[in-house]
Amino acid sequence: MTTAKKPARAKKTSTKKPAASKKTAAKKKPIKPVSETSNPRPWKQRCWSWFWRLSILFILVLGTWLVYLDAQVRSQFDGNKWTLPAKVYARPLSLYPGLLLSAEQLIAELKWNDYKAVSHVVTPGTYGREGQDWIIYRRGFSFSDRNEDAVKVRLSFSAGRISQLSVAGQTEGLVRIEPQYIGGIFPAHHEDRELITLKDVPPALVAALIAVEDRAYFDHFGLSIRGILRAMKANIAAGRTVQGGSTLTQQLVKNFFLTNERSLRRKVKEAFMALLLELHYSKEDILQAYLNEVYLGQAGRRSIHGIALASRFYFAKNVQQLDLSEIALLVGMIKGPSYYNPFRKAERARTRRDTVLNVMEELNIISAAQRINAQGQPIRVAKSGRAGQREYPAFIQLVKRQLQTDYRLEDLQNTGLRIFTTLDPWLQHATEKSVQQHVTNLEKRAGFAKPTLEAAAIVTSVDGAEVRAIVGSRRVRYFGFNRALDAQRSIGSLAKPAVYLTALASGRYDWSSIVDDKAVSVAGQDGSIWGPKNYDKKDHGKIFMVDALAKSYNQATARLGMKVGIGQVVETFERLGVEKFIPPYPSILLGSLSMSPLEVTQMFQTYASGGFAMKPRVIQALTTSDNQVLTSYALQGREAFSPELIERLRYGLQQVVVQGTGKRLAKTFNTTKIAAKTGTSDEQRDAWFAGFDDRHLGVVWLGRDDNKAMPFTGASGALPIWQNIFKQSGLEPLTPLVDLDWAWVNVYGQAVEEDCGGVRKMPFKSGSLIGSEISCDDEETFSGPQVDSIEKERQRSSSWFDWFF
Amino acid sequence: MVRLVFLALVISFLTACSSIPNSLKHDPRNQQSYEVESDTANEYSQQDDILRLDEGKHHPAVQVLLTQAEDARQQDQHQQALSYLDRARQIQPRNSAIFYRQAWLNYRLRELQQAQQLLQRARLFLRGSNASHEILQRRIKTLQNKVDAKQGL
Repeated sequence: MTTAKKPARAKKTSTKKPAASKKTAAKKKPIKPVSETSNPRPWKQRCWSWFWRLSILFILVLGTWLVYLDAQVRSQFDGNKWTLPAKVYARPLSLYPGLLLSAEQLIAELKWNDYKAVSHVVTPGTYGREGQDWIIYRRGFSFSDRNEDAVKVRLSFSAGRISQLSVAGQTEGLVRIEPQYIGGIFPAHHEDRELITLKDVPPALVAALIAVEDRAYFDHFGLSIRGILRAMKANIAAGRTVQGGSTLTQQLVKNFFLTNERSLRRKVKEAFMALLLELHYSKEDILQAYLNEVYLGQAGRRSIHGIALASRFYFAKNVQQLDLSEIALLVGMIKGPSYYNPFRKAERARTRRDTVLNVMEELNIISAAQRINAQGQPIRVAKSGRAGQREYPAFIQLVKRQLQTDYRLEDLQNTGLRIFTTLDPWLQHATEKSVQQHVTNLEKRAGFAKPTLEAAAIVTSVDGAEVRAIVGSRRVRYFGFNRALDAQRSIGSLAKPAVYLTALASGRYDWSSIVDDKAVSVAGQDGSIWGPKNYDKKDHGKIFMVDALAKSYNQATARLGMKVGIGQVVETFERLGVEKFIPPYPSILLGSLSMSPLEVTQMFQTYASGGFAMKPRVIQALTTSDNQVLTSYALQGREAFSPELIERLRYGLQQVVVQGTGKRLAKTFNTTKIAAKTGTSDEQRDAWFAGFDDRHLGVVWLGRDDNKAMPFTGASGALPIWQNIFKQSGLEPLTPLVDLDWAWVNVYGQAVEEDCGGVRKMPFKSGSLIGSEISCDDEETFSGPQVDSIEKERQRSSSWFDWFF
Repeated sequence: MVRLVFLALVISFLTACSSIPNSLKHDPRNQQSYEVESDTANEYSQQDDILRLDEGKHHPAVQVLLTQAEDARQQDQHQQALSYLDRARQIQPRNSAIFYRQAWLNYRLRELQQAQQLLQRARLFLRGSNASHEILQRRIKTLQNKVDAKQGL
């Protein structure tokens, strides 16, 4: 190629030159064509000149590039190296004398927190039994309000309650078990890690890592020529890539700064960055970064990074607690976390672990006896789907939503915040289990293909509105559409208590008031007629108002609602905590309005708490990664209704269990002291159940995503789910909030003295009965009122509703 | 001098009340406060206000938290104190004395609306008519008056 070009260039020169210097050529002898052999210097000079120019240019470009890389290396490696997702914790289990706590719950909560049952309790994170007593070695933990050291706790039980609590032989009033990790708020890449300092890593792990991944780590300057040659030799001999020549520094650079792209350009960049990294940082700094950066597997959407988190994920232990076999396995997995995954490829993982142990012995890191002992152990890993490593999507979504009103999403995803929440793992598991079991059973019963039915459930504490459990789908690990928060469904008869509350609050009605359950029709503004019917398609005539609620009669409720005024009922909804616009149409009286299970919970919370309107609360406190409290969320709630009025309403809701649509609960729990309401929307598209005992409020929704009809009502579809949740949590019968006056009432709804024709005992507003009870001597008792309660109402108030009758 | 005598009385009262209540076989959540039951507190009870968050006689778990709350308050860590009180409330969600303390601390922090709401709850869960509840009732009234006065009601 070179020789072929040369004559051409020479010819070109010979033709041009004479023309260029005509005068000179005329005076002087003709110039001979210049040949390379005769005078090569100008060409060589030119080449050199170009070479130097290019070299200088190359050096300048390289220098600039290196300066850029250097800036990149230093800016990313100094300070916070990683974006740390916010960690979300459940409520801690508080132990104190008098607490009702089953052994089943205690064991479950310890297990979910990665505590191990042992015969001798000597290390934190273990527990055991000594006779009737329990010994728990609680780990040290930074709670949101204080750091607490590891302590050995002794618990004695009597009749299912904690009778004695002591720490190191001293009686204690209160001990907390550290809260369970329940998920994170991750950035888009879903990287999760726990940071660890080099001094906290067992020396054997560091030694094993260096032995296996980069033996010359402490001798090279970022690149290992010997390592590259050795890898080349091994790869040529094998005829394929069997060994890498990258140092730990290069691996860190690749993982930390670069991508997995396989190209020469990336490799060169990696080499230079490794050199720069070694130039600026100590071997220890680089090693520590490597141990925190290294990828070690996948847990659902989470990618497990760093040995600290990997140790917890695979072995349910702190790194310091790992034994030799576990250390070797963890180090061995670095080569291929998926390929050597001990959950799925136990045999492959064992072989890899043994190889690492062989290398460790070969380099005198461990003795032959240690190697034999470690290799003799089976591969023991904690379950990957165990509670302590599982996420609770519906709850986490609510946490995220509530926090985003105060914090930026980026801060939640990147700064390692710690979020302490109200979730009760025991109740959460009960709720999940109940939803999953019942939805499957109901589907079978209805002959539906799986999956047709969906469900959502929320459990809160009655007094503080703390959300204790939440399920947003039958697929409880699903991070998609959260029906508990976002499904807007018709609430059916769950609206009725608001109508009755409005009636009681008006002062014109008591539970003994007689209401008329007969056909009703109302003309709308557009001329359409609204004519609700009862579920059983029957008229029930004149009945006590309380029976209309307990048996969920539509006609009586519609009539009552129209009498007290739709505007008043809408106002009641608003006072109860419903924040959305409610159109003042008659159909809202029977629940034609749509709400999410969370909104229904907020509404029922006001009944459950004794009249205090509260938003369901999920966050207790938020701290930085170094435990500085950013916000603690206190109990809030305005008194929307007087406790006395709510207590009267609660009597009506209890009658649902005594004689109404929730009657089966009385049999199951052997008490009627439960306040509840069933709800079924038109054509049975939605089945609801909301109820509370003295501790918890539970709201359950069952329906189809395509909004089609189901062969279930609130009582047959949603109630059994509620019932199972409360069976596991333990039901505590309601206690009265305030004292009401009680009196017998006759068939006309009049308060009468005892044994004077009374048919039922009912509560009245405190002090309202004074002088109003009818005695046996009174003739009115026997003749009945001249006009019944409804007629009285008609005379007393003339609502526009009257025009329709 | 009067303050010293008063302080001595308070300390002697707290010492006397330090024993653990004997009704531990019941769940503490529905128990009322054991606060100010003895005659030794008569002089103190005239004050109708509390000086310390941990005064009185309470369930052991609640007592631990009230003591921690008082320690935090003395170090001007009011939010910390409130979080201890909230933990106490979750153990005994219907204990008027805890709500009263939460209200009192909120009042000190000029969170008047919050104080008012907590007082309403303290009143709701007030039960019985023994001396301790009368005192608590009076205290609630005193604090309520202060809150109302500050709010210009």
